[in-house]
Amino acid sequence: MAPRIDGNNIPAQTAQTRQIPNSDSDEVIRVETCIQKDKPVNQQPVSSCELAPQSNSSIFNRRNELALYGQNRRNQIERTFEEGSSILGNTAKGVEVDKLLPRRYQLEPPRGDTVTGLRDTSAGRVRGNPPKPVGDWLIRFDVADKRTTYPHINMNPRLTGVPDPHTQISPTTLKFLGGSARTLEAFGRVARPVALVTDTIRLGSAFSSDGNQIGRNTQITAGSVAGGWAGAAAGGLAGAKGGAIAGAFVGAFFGGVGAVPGAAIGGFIGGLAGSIGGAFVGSSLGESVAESIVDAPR
Amino acid sequence: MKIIVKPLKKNGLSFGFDTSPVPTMRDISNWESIVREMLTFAYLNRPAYLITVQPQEWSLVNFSPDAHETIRENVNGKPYFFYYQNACSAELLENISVGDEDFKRALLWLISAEKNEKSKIYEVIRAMDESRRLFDFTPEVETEWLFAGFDYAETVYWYNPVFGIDEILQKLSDSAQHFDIELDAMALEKTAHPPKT
Repeated sequence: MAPRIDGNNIPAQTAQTRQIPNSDSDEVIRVETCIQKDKPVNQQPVSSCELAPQSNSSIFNRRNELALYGQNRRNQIERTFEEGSSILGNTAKGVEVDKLLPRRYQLEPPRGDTVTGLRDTSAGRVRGNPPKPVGDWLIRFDVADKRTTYPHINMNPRLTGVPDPHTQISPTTLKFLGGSARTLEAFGRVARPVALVTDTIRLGSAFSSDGNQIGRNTQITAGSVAGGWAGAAAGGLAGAKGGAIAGAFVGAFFGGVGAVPGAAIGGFIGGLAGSIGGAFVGSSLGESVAESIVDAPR
Repeated sequence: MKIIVKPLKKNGLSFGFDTSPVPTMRDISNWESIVREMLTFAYLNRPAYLITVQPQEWSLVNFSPDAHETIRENVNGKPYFFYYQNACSAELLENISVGDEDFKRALLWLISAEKNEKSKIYEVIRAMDESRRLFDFTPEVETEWLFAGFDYAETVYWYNPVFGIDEILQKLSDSAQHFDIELDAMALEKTAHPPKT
């Protein structure tokens, strides 16, 4: 039986359809030829006997090319989507875990003249039932006021043990710090739903790839998801400790007042960076471990 | 260290310590004691609203025994705690003046008012909101209102005090003397007794 060729996938505006009767059967071969703008098609009629053998082969090639291109493009999009959701999901996991872990240093909310800063949750007056420290600000980045007529850094003398130097900073630095803190805060508010949604999408996509059953892809993605959360927690704890030590070390070079805020800044940034980095490493490790288990000979 | 007393525009005064050169830890501690004494002098056993601007979980009124009576209100898009006390206790005033960061940063105000006089609170909030930024210019209010700023309650602002200026100066002078601190009230005296032309 002669093949039935359907050229519908070729864009219509570039093609003209011809129906060629097939003598062996009652089927019709539909052939589409490209229209050249400068040459009207009707002026040079083409014999069906000449056209058929050549066109059949070129149409097959064209269809295969298109099919291959489509498949590649689909794979590329799927890969990009998978990578994108993995990056977004792991970053969100890092930020979320950083919020959940007990942190000594937290962001100071913008209030009054303060744009941002860091708060030591283990300091301050002991209040409440059960009694616990209410925390105290350690560093504040403030706008200019009547007394200190330029944007400045305040360091809490009760925590540093030395008088507040009211170090001057530029308005640009103050704006940048405030903007960064707000961005982090805003992302922190949506981190948990973002992490959960990306995990769900990744698992759903893997489940679908396995033909709607728990197969190799689902198991590996589950390993990656679990590894991401575990990695974020481990990375966050290690990062906060490492960051605090490094920050105190660097801060000590800026005189006696530097070590305490250095440790706070190092601990805060180290914890956040550790959580995010840990989520990526954990995700990758979880994926590798799941892969080796799934692919192990039985 | 020196305490400087200045008049406020209409009726009131401010007193603060000189922050140049940078105050020592001892200076800050002495100043806290003076503020405690002044706050006790001003509000002990008197009714007042404690207003917290943009309250946080560590704000003082959250830890008071009757914290559940605190009203949270949004005024002009900014959150406030309204906490009423019909007789301010010495303990409460000490908690405010020593170590309360909201009070030190001008985020906790004391406003003399009875429980049903919330309009006075709105008047103060409106006056404060109208100033472009805190302390840019002196808000004009009719209500008795006390608050402190900037970083360590270095300056205390007392609008429409119920006490006479002389009484307040006497109390300040006694407190300053106790800590062997100089009191400079020249600016205030010039306003109270302008030179005859």
